This record gives sequence, C-alpha cells and structure tokens, in this order.
Amino acid sequence: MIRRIIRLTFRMHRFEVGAIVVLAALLVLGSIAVSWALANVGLPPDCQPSFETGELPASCVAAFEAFNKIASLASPISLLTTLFPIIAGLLIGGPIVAREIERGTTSLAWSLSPSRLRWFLHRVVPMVVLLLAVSFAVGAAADHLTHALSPQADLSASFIGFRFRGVLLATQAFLLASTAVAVGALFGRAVPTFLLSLILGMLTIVAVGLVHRQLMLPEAVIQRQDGDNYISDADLYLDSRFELPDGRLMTVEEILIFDPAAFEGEFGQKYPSVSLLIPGDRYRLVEAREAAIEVVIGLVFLAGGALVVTRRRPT
Amino acid sequence: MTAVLEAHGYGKRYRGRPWALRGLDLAVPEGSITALVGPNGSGKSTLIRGWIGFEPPTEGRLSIAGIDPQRHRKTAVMRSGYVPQQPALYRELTVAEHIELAITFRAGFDADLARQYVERLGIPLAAQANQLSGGEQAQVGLALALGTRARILLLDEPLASLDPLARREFLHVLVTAVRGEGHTALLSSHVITDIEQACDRLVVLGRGRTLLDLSVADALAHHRVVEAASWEPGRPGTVGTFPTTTDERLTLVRVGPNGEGRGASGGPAATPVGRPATLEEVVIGHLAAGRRRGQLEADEPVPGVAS
Repeated sequence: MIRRIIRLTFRMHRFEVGAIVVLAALLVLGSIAVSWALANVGLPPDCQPSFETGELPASCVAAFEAFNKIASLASPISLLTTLFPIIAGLLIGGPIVAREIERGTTSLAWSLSPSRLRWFLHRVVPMVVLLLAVSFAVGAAADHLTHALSPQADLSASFIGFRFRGVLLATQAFLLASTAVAVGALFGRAVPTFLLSLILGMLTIVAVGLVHRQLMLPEAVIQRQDGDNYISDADLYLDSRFELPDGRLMTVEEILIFDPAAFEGEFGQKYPSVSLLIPGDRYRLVEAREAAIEVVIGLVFLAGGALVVTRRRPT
Repeated sequence: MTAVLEAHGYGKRYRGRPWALRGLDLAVPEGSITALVGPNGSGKSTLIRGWIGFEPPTEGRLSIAGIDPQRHRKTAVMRSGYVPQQPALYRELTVAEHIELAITFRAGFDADLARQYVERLGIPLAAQANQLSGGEQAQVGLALALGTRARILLLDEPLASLDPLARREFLHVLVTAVRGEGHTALLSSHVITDIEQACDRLVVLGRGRTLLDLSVADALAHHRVVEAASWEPGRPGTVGTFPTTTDERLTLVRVGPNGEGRGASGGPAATPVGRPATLEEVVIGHLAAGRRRGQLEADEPVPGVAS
C-alpha cells in the first residue's frame, strides 16, 4: 500500500519530481566533477601569495592559475546550490494542496477519503521525504565542493559556506516547502501560493538566522581587533563591541550614553574594539541547532496546513 | 417511508451574498432516485455538498442516513458516493490509477466493481484522464462513486456537459446500479427529459426554498396546462404562466387525480382542464411561479406540494 501511495503521488507530481531530481543530479554531478578537477591540479598546500609582496612562489604559479580557472566553474554551481532550497521547496510544496484545490480534484479525493488528514499525509509525506533526500544530496555535494575549494579547511570545524552547504540546505528546503503547503491550503491557488510562500519562507529563514544570531551572542568568544589578531575564515563573526576598562562590552550607542564625551580624545585607545565570534570548532553544534529550529518551524507550518485542510471546503 | 437525506430548516448564506437556501425542509426517501431541479444559483450544489459535509449550514441542519454530516463528516463520507459538478479527475493519472487511488483513500473500496463499470462503458483503463471526453470523465467519476458501495449517491449535475448519448449511458449505469442494489440517489440536473426516464421523485428548488416535492408520477398526474389567454389569472389551482417557443403563453394548473380543475369558487370543475403537462412544463411552471412571487403560496393543499 505504501509503495502504491508513493507511486501515485509521484505520478501526480511528476513534473515537479522530475525537475528537482534532474536539478539535484546536475548539481551533484557538477560539484563532483569540479571537485575532482580541482583535486587533480595538485596545488601544493603552501602555494599562497606572500603577505609582503602578494606574489606566489614561482614553482606553483601555473598550478595556482589552473586551480583558479577550474574554481571559476564552481561559481554557477554554488549559485544554483544556494538557490536550490528555494526552487525545490516551492516546487514541491506549492502544488501539493494549492493545485488540487484549484483544479477541483479535492472534491473527488475528499469525497472518497473519510479522513482528510490521511489524504494530506498521502500527498505530503512522499514529496517531503523526496525533497529531503535530494536536498541532503545537494548539501553533501556542496560540502564536497567547498572542501575542494578550501582544501586546507576542516569543514566539520569551520563556518566556511555556512548555511549554503550540508544539512542546512535540506532544512531550508523543508521550511520553504512546508510554508508553501500551509499557504496553499489557505489560499487554494497555485500562483499566489508560489509568490506568498517565497516571501513568507524567505522572511522566516532570515528571521531564523537573526534570532539564532541573538541566541549565539552570549556564547560568543571575544577577540580584540589589533594587529596580531585576525578573524579566521573558520570562525563565525557575529558582531563588534567596544570594551570598557572594567571588561564590560558596549555598542557605540551605549557608550555615548555611558560616556557622552567618548569621542573627545582617543576613542580607540579608551574603548578598544572587539569582535564577537563563534569558533569554528562549534560549527556542528550551531548547524544542528539552526537545522532543528527550521525543522520545528516547518513542522508547525505543516500542522497548520493539515488543520486548514481538515476544515476548509473544497472548490 | 424512511428518509435517508433530510433537511430541517436548512439555510446557507455565503459571506457578503444573499441566502443561497433558507428554511429548507426536505426528505429524500430511501431507495428512490430523486431529481433535484432548479435554476442556476438555486442552491442545488450547496445542498448536495452540505450532505457530504463540504458546506456547513448557516442555520438549521442536515442529516444523511440519520447523522449530522458536519459533526460526523467521516461517517457521512463513508455512507455516500459523490459525483461532483465538474469532472474532477487527476489529469496526470490513468483511469486504473484513479481506482488505485480510491483504494488508498477508502477501506472497502470495491475496485473490481469500479473496473467493471469502466470496462462496460468501453473506457480504457490505461487511458490518461486528460485524454478522456467530458462524458467519459463523468462516467469514471460515477464508477468511482459506485465503487464505494455507498448506499447513498449524491450526483451534482453530472449530466451538464454530456452529449445526449453520453447522458443516456450515464443514466443507464446509474439506474441499473441503484435499482439493482436498492441504493438511494439524488441527482441534480437541468435536463428534464432525462430525469423523467431515470428518476421517480422530483424536487424543484427556487428562491432558496422547495417549490415542489412530489413523485414524478404524481407531478404528472396533478398538473395540466391551459392556454394562458383562456385562463383567468388567480383562479384556484393556478401555479404559473410561462412562454413557449412559439409565442404562446401557457398556464400550469394543479388538478385533481382525474385532471379536474377547480371552479372559480374553488370547487371541483366538472371536466378536465387543458391537456396533460409534460414534466418539463411542470418544472417550468413552478419555477416561473417561484420567480414571480418569490415563492409559491399554495392556495389549497395538494399532497406533497410544499407550501
């Protein structure tokens, strides 16, 4: 029975299923091909431009140029990978309920199915599982490509490409799809569902990022911004503050209230600037927490969509 | 007579619009094939969708097989088979896949029966829904409704888009299935000639109310038509006046069992008046009366005619 449900659901949404599977396959294959080509260049680990002169060691100029030439091919792949959760999420989530209501097939389905919740699960679960599977694959491919572009980085302990690789691509896609399901259940029209879900889904993802950033501030490591310190690519920069002599941290607005004459004299010496960072070794924890927040919000949207379906009238 | 579909003071009003139905009392007897007739916007679809739990009432209540479809929607769905107004098939699926889909939705769905009906009509099971004609799509919808083996069938203008042959085939399948299994069917339609052949009961809706609720046989026996020019307006028994296609105006008159009209005083006339009315004339006469006066006010009770 489960296989039949999955087969029929995929048949109903064969365009959407085909489109995201093909797009995901292209991205995965593209990422693997570019990664393989980059690895084959054989760029030595110490082939970096000199800090003083900006010049490369003569022995690796050719390899460096070859590496950069291949790396430029990664740009369109990275761009499409970044857009993948949006495209796939809306393409999968949008039609599930909205198109059925719009086309009137809910009249048939809801008159045959005593449980609308069962109908909803039959439609949503196979599509969401497929979406998660292909999004994980794209996320893993993005991890692979990021590693090929930054071979020295340990990606399990680095914020390089944060939110544009790994599990977060899948949870973003899930969140957008869930938003589209809920909006579709409410409006029952495909085109408005796509537009509203795009806006609402993107706002939600941005809001999740901002809220998570606020949650991370108390966990941040303080790093003075002087000549000897620089922010590593592996760390996640959150914000800057000014440090008071007693060790308290303030924003510039807070300092002006605390010390209205702060800008008279050497501000930088009185209140040195510090950066608030999350060290790269906490990447997995931060990634898991943000993924969990997105999954929970997505599940709330799906539950809302299910509630609307059980109460609304078909067309 | 056991009624399996009932309306008690049922009213439905959509937001910002006038009442679609109001104060409707109706009882559809078990085992009947009842035609629900009325002009566009008279509330036929609203009423049918109400019985399957799709439309909550604004006032009053409905019952299907003794239960309130709003409170017990799952049971209402399980007890009914529904054919919607527009063919609502999944254009991406084949006919066979629609039957498979019904199996996944509904425990006890009789897939073999549904396939038999489809095959009997010569519709290929492998055909994709978007390749079927409107008539074939309606037939598939009916086969799915019959496959539910529900004892109550609700058909919301399924004949509207069908050609005469397809209508005839549809009604043949419906009547055979319903009569064979002792089911009850409620069929809303505009096509009076088909109703006459298929249905044994007639309900006319107009102005949001029941204008007529009679068996088809009684409707024919208790109405005659006369030339409007020869009939005194307002005479007892007058139902309504309507034009014909030849510039003639006819008046529908309620008569006694032998065709006798009423005298000017209301007493029985000696001879039958006019000629027997066709079912179409009965319906049109009542619709004309409903349109003219808001609702028919019966000047004397005739069994089964709602006042």
